[in-house]
Amino acid sequence: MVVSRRPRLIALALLFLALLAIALAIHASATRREGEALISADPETILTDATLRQTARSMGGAIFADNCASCHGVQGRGDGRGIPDLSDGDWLYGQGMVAEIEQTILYGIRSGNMRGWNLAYMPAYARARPYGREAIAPLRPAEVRDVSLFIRSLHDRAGLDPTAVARGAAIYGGKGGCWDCHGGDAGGDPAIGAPDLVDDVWLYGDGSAAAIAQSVSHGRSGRMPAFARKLTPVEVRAVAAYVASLSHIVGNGRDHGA
Amino acid sequence: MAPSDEPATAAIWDFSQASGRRSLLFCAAGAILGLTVAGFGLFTAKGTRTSAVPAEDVAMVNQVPILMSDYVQQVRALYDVPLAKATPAQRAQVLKDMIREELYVQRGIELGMQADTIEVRQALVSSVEAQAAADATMAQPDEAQLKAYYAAHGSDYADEGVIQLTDYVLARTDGNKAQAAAATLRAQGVTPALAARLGLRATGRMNDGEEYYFAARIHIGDRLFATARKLRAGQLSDPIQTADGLHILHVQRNSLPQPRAFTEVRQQVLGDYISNQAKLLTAGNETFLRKRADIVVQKGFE
Repeated sequence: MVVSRRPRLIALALLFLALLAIALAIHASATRREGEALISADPETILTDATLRQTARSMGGAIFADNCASCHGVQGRGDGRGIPDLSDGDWLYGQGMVAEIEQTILYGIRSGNMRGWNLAYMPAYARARPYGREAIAPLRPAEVRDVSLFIRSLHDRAGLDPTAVARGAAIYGGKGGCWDCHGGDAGGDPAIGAPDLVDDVWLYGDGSAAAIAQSVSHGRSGRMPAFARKLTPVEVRAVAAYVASLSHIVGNGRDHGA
Repeated sequence: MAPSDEPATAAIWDFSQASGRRSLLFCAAGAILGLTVAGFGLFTAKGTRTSAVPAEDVAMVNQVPILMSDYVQQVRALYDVPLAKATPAQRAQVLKDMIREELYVQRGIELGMQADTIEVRQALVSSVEAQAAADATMAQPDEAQLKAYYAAHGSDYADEGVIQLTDYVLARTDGNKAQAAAATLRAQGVTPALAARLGLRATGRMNDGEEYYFAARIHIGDRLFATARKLRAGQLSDPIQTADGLHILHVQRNSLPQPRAFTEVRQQVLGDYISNQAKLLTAGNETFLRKRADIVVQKGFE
């Protein structure tokens, strides 16, 4: 009598499927536990804990590639035309702490979400109405040139007309109202997203007087979408820690390595 | 003689033979697996009441979560310390405040506060508008869409024109004298001394040198500006009659608005594109709400 192999094959197939299901369940459970550990931890301790750091970098890196790289670039270096470099340790909003980055990812910048950053934007001084939220006087072309030269002079005075620079300083501290956001020392204000004008990091252009004049003339108001409804809290935490790791220095000044 | 167990056990795993016990065993295993999957889905489904707080939340108030990330941020905002450095008293206070806020929000909804309190109504309207536009604000248009928008709205992305001119006026309304003065200036070159000898006076409205077009229009008015805009550097206008006399414009510099390259204005185009899409979505949402609502208007007020 020939013994049928078919029932045995069916049994083996069922066993294989069962084992596969168990393996998937174990993997899902492990991933879930990793995510729970990540979300339960104090955000600022993630990069100092080897296991959490590894979880954040692998999970966050994949999420970054899918959701953020299209604007910020694969390595988070930005594009010099308004998309910030996330790896330079220079932060427009906050100090680069994981919790702060997390909030920015959740609620965005000028995103339409009421909890997002939207305290101010750079006025367009070559327009009749430079700033929509309050009355600011426009500047004349010569005044735009002077204040741009003044800002340029904060980096390098070589070849600049000192009289024009002095006029620009007066505009910065007076009619232009620039000090109100960028600070009397032009050091910026991370509480409202006003860039530091003294460092060598430029969100737009190359820091030349002409590039600065473009920003002064036309204004700037970059935008970042809110991901609160697109990513889960675990994913937001992971990508926030990943982004913080790109700049090596995380708020508290410790270098956590790339 | 009672059947031994050994043949019965062998029969269960002998797939060449039918076995009732084996069938029952597989049924039981399948039932257990199915119940496990169903139970997992049931107890983790949104809206299910659980006593466990999900890891991403710090608390649940009537099954409404308070996000852990919001709690961490609130601790930092109030006490300027990261969570790890906050004292237990500080953490407890923040949590207490956030729970209180959630309770009051829920109570407000129960009491129908949105019907009475203007600030609540305004906030709700803004929130719903933002929610309706969320798809637009989240979307990332491709380069072709952005370039098409840029091409369709080119004037929005041009430099402002710059003009420098002197506005001369002849108080007397003698048109022939004004024409003669203009001809003399064109022939001999415009100088302040010559203009004064011809009876022309500079109004001083454009004494600050170069001005952007919008400022020049404000200073000299629409009619004079419309004429000045067409002149090139060094050109003189024909006399223009206005209420305060005959004006002759001498343009020293005129830079027309120049379109800015797409790469230079890409961020601005992106923002404008998204705002435009958000407006369309919001308008569509309003149409949808009106369509599905039962709106009855008093006679005479339709």
